[in-house]
Amino acid sequence: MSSPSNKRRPRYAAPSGTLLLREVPAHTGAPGARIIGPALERVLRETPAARCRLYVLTDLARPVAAAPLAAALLETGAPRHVPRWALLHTLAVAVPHHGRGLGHRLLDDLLMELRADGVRAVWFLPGPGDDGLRNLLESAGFRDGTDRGLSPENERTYGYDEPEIRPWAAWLFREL
Amino acid sequence: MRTSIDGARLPAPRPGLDGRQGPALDFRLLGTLEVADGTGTILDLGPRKQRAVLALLLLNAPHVVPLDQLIDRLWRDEPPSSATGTLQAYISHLRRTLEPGRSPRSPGRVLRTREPGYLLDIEPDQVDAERFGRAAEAAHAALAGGRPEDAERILGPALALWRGEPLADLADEPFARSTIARLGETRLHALTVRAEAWLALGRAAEVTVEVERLLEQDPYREGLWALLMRALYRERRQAEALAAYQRCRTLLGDELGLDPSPELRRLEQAILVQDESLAGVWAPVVAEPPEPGPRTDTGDGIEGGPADGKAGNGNAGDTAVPGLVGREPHLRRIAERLDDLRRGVGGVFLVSGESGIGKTRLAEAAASMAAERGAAVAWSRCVEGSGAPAFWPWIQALNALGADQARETAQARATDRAPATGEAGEAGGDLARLAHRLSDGDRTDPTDTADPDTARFLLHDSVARALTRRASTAPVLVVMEDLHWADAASLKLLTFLGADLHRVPLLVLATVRPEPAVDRQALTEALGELTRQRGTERLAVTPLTPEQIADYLRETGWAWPELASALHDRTGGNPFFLGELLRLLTSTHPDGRVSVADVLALAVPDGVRDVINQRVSRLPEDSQTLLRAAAVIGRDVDADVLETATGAGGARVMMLLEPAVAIGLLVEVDGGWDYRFSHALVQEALYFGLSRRQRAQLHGRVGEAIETLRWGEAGTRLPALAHHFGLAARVGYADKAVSYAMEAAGQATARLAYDEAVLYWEQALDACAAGPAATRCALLIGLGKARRVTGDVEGARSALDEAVTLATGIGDDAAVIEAATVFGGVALWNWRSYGVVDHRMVTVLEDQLSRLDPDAVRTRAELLGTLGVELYYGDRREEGRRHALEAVELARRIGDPLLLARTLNNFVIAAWTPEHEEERYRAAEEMLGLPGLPRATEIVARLHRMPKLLKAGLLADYDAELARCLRLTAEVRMPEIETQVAYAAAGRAVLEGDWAEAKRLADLGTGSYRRTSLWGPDVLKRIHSFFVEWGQGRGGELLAELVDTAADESNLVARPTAVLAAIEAGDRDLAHRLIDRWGTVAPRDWTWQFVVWQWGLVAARLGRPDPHAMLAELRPIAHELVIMGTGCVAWGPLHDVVARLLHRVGDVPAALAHAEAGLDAHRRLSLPHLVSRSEALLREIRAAAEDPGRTGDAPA
Repeated sequence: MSSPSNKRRPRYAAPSGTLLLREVPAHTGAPGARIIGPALERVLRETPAARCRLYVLTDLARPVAAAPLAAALLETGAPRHVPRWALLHTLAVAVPHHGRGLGHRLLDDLLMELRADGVRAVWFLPGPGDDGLRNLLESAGFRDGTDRGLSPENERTYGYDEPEIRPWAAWLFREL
Repeated sequence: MRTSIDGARLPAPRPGLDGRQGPALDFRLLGTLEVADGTGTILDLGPRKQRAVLALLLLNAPHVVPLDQLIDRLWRDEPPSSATGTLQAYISHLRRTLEPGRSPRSPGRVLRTREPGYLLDIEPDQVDAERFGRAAEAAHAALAGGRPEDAERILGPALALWRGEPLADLADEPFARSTIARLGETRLHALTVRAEAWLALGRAAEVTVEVERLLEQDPYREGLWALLMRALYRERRQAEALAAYQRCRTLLGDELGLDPSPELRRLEQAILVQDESLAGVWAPVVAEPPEPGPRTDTGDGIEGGPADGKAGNGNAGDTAVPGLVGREPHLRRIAERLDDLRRGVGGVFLVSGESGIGKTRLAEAAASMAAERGAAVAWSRCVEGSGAPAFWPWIQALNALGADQARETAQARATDRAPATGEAGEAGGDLARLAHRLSDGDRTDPTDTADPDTARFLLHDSVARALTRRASTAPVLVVMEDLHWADAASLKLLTFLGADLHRVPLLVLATVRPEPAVDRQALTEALGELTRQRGTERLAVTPLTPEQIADYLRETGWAWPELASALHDRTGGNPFFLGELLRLLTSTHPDGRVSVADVLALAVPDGVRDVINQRVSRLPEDSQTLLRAAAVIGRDVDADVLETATGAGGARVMMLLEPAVAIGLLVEVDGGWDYRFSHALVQEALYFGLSRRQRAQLHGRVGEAIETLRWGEAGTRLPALAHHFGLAARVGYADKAVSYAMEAAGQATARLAYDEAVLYWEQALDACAAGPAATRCALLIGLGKARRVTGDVEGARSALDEAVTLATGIGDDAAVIEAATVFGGVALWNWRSYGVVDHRMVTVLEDQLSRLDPDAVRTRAELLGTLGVELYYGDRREEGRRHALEAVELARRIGDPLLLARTLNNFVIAAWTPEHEEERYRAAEEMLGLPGLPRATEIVARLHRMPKLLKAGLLADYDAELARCLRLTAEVRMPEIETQVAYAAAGRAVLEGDWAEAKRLADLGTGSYRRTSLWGPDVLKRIHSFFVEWGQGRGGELLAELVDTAADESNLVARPTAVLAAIEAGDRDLAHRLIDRWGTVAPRDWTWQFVVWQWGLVAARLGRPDPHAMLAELRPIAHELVIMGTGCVAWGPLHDVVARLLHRVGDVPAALAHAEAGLDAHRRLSLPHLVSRSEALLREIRAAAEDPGRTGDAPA
């Protein structure tokens, strides 16, 4: 990681955690859909399902049918290729679980997942009500996208099929 | 053995050829890091950190790079858990890049996970630097062999491999520096060789240009200057050649204050005198090629082991160091190295292994072995953290050696055989001075050299020279403990010394953990450097095997070598954990009796658990979650179950668990993708770290996963399902818990695993604590039956009593009957305690009988049979016999053989009186004739039939039957039957007079007896013991315990035995008082013949009970052999006692007749001990007859 790393952060609550990140098929009835809210339907309408990724944070020590604690919705590059980028549409923690550091936890796991998939950069376009998420992302090393982020050597060595993102200024960006 | 980035000598096992897919990958580091696939396409290696990971693995291939080292080098500033996650993500993605065709669930074949980290499993030829290094060597050899044209031809393509500076894109990574420098060196060497080849080919002009170019890069190389001079001379440019010498001299003098080497000076002289030899190849430029590449497989790893035979014999004494079980090969190797010291060969000997594995014990053994060989031993320790000064281990070692030397010198001088002060004394002083210099001298005043590297060199060199001098007087062993904590300065000094130790009689033995701790970089480099040195060897200390633990237990005097495998399972063979565990066991079991169950039931010691938790916390959070779920599955983790239970995909599970494999918490199971916890302790520490609620939920998920997966046969899954749902019963899985436990109980019963069946029933009941009465009732009946089979009569009765109560409460007659008739099942002995009638049960049975549907014949038969047995010990015994008889008739009418067997068995027990012997025998015969008889029933029937054979003296038949019963018993595995058969055999041994065997068998029987809760183990054991003693003319010593036992009303049968013991002990008064207290009843139940025999013996001695009355009882059956119950004690015919009684009452002729009949019988039956008894009896009666004064009196 050539971008600044996220160092001090609140410790997660449970002493022996049983939280686990899972990817679930993205559809309006998916677990976690209620946490994502209307954004899910919108994204599903605008984006091919194959490019949508829905991640939920579940607690294995809760009943199987229990709702997830947090969820995140992403869009990635073309399927069947190594996706070079990912767009974070939203990341939310269910109301009863606010304040436990679960947003961090989910984001951490998520970045590991994306990195393992070969994703090189994650983008996020903050909307009017996204201050909390913006803070979270910035504390996790996301930066303003004005300088178009990619470090020179990555830029030099490899070309990117970057998403159609304009204007740059409004976006948050994190290299993996 | 564990391998690591530096020390490893063992390459990873090569995968099978089938594992290779397509042409091999090509790894290139002579330039920016590149990997080309088989088609030549350059792969996208991803972001910088990912490339750095690959480079690190590549530089150490094919050895493992520990995970901790990777993290330490690349993510030193990040918390370990998130760094591990990042690393793992890169590893996963690299794997996909390098092996795009691999299925995501199969393990990598190129980038492999192997504890303690990762490795690139590639051939040397797949690395450009490796190929280059070999070419350079080959070229050098060709040149040295006088084939300069070959040298040039080889080097051309090799040099073309260079695309730029090595690892150009990672040049600023500290880990790359030494490799980059070494590769640069190799290249320079190759270029020099090429220039030398050109010179030999007469292309001196090209050489001068090339060498000037090389000198621009590295002006201090005298070899290059020499080459330049020779080339210029060959070009007939003598003046320039001499000028070159001057340039070199000025450069060395001005910049370094040095003179040119003697060789260069000689070359100058040769030019001046125009030496002929200058025309040819003169003084090879490079005497020794530098390391050809990043890899050196010296191939002389330690795994080959010591040379067998010659070394082993000579050192046999060394290997027997107590307490070092299982370390014989290690000790042998150490002994060999110590012996090498005498030949002047030393080195660095690394003893590596996890903490607690016993490294220090080996070091101690090495120290004492060295002392035995006359070597000087210096001991030093590295200290964790930064509390100790630099060079601390060396300071300790030098001081120890210096003091040692001074002492020796002083002694030598005192005895006047000192080598005139000389070297030794000087060396002693040297060492002390050096220790002082190391500790502070050089720090405060960095000598006169401005260059710190040079200063360090000088310091190292003086230490080396002093130690060499010291070792020249006597071999030296320096033990350095915990090298992983050594400071960088000490490590550098060690590597400096290591280079020359193979020709100095000094051995440094260092202990080191495979996972480095503080200052890892320095340690890794030092270990890497050391491994390349000639005298260095690394010895891995591995965990103990179960056999070695057994040896250890024996050797250290623990009384339980049979626990070895359980202890091995608990400790993973780690001697430290083993020691901790043994300590714990002795503290909890002061009596010294420890069973396997005790070992397994032990909670994990806190210290160990903490250690493990610390290791777990370094993993990514999701990995931790998965590990916890895996711990709930068990020590062996089925990957499918884990996936299904957690909902994580296969590839993801693999990725998340990989770091756990890399750090050795989990191991991959060969031939699949399942896992196993490396220690039971690991699994337990994780498991007990969960709250009860977490555990319960996870067990539920695991249970459902196993249910869903449906692999294998249903039967094989049952125990797991019962286990997991049982532990999840409280969180909504109670119904499944109950039903699976019931099924598992049934399965266990079918497999004759009765104890397990009991556990499953208990588990089902537990899960059903709040369940409906009907269900609980059914479970209680199941439990009662299962306990009955295991011989737990008390437990069975309490369960069945509760079942009857519950069933009565809900008006379920069928359940009442089922519960109440359990004890009417086939059994050898009446299950009630001697003399006890359970009136409640009698009422229940009668009540059910009175209300029973007249057509329910089968049930009626069962109830009647059971009632018959229940009435045995009361006044209504005869009524009970008739009930049982009726039951038999009903069963005959139905024609069900098993029902008939059951009722016949009821009858045999209910009718067990002297009067009904013949009917009982016939009933047992009838049972044996029934088809499809279960084993246990057959044994019971035979044992019921056998007493009649014995009484009749048909010992051959009896023995054949007994043998068959013993055989069958092994198949049945019920403690109750085992007890009864063992006692039958014990009784038979008494009859034979084989006292030792009788005692052995009785002990065996008592052992299984105590696993039941049947009436009578104590009383039976004591009676038996008495007759074993009595048969040998003793028995009085058992008096006290027999009296004690017989005081209990239910132990009536032991009363005459106690009186006999009193007589044997010579205490006739006591015998009389006991009779006064107890009377001399002989109830007409199963004990009658045995009891009346004993009272007969008593009467013959004491005159009480009335000998005439006893004769009336015994005379009709005088021909019968004595037998207690089903043969627990047996004796010769009653003739003897009848003879004694007749003698007592003065009927000498009749007494003689009976005594002779007894003697005949004993002779006929070949029972020598009874023959001599009978002979003695005859002599006694005859003697008394000749001496009428003594007639009628008891023998003395």
